[in-house]
Amino acid sequence: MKKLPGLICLMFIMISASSYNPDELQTIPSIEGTWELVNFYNFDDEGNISDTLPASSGYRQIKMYYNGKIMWTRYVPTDSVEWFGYGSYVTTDSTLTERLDYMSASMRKIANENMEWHMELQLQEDKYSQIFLDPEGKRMTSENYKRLD
Amino acid sequence: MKKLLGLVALMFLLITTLAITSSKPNTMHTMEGTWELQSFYNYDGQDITDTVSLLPGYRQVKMYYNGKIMWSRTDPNDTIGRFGFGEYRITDTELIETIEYGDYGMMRALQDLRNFTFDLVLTDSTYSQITVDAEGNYTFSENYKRID
Repeated sequence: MKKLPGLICLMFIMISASSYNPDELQTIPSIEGTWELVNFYNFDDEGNISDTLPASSGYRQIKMYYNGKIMWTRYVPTDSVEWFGYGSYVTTDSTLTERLDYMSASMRKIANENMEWHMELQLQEDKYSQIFLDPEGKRMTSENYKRLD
Repeated sequence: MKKLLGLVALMFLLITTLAITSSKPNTMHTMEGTWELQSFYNYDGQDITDTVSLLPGYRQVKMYYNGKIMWSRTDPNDTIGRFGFGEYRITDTELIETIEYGDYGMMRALQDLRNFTFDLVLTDSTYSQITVDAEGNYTFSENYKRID
């Protein structure tokens, strides 16, 4: 009968472990959700922020990330030129890669041929920055977002 | 030893039950996700009279997540794109969208009309939003397929 208490202990541990797992998963910040552009940064040669530019008033740029899909739209009240895109995304701890399936006509004119953007990612629970890098990997500018939902 | 076997069996049952309840998927259908337009239906008020398919290259995608909705459209035969962003909620039979902003043309056309209520037919992998006229007759629907 010595085995019995040991077995019960083991069972208890197993049950506890299986009920804890779901909570632990949620402590890593996730880019899933809806985000609105707040401002832009410029960076100096050392990669430090040199300048902050606010988004123009009335102008709204919102991105939605969910389950590998990304869509963004920009609303400019005084302008009929359209800006939007839709595609897929992948994140790592420090990078964000977006590959667009389609985009507005105005966006197509300035887009890379492969419609892919590789950026540095700084992600927290309620804000994130996507930093554009030059071909040498130096920081150039960033778009900074706050979580809406 | 008989007790032991019985106990092990009981524990096993407990663990299995727990595993099933804790990983239980949503059994209700959910709007959350990414959906792409597949076709349009015309209605005679009640029944489908006509299916209109999409022209090649025409793509319209809607994303629903946590109360927010965003959609966009690309059409090779039209240089003007369309998009919108806002909030949504659903009931068993209705989809209610409140648009916060959209493309220039839509914003001018909408003026004060920002609320859209559709009849909703939702399954795990498809949904239809049906436009209903003031008398309650079905007129037209957009039919989507889940792509995530």
